[in-house]
Amino acid sequence: MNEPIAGLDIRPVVVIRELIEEELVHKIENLLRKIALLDDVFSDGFATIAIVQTGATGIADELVSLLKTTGYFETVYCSYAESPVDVLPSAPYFLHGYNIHQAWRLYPDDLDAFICSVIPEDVWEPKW
Amino acid sequence: MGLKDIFRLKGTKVTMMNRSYMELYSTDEESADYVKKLVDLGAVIVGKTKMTSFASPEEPTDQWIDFHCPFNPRGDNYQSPSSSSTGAAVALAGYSWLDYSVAGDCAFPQPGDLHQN
Repeated sequence: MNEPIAGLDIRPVVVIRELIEEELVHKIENLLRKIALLDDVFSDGFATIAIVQTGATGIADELVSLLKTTGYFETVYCSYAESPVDVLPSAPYFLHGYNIHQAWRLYPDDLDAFICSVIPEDVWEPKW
Repeated sequence: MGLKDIFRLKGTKVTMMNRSYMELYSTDEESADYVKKLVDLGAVIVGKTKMTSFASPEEPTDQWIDFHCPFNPRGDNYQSPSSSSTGAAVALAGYSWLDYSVAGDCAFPQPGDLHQN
């Protein structure tokens, strides 16, 4: 992260997977619309802060600058994954300090159908 | 995806919807083979759904002893939601956010069960 988030605030963010072409920056509106359509967690509150995540170095700063010019976000950060394989999918997350955390939407069980709720420990490599 | 609480799921305790059973057995260290297949296929388990105790044919309200019967989303919510996969059916019928609900036939299958069902 180029600029650390101060304090212990938890901020809703949208992570944007590495944009490898400049023209894709101008399609950011379509990406946000797609995320809003497919992801039940996403709401407008997540689109205030964007994090461009990339597994490569050297191009992120340009992409961040370009993204800032679109005016869609109040703040744009850049995050480097350990490798291209570790880049997160474009989706809403929570940012806490330097760490990006998975976000889950809570639904009420008004019908009392569940005995307990669960979330996976590791979405990428579920352990069973 | 909801999972009927008759299937083992690593990190959770199968209740069989019976308090005595829960006292006898601890948290599962391994998921059922069927659950493993589902997870490998990309299923995201969101919770364990209620069933009748030991998947028996119980009707609300007096036959649901240890846990409360789910509410049927149809009508005035007080129709019997039947059994044994009560929570699985209720959740799938009542919640638009749930994509799949795994139910089951019985706890300890005997020869002839599949034929009868």
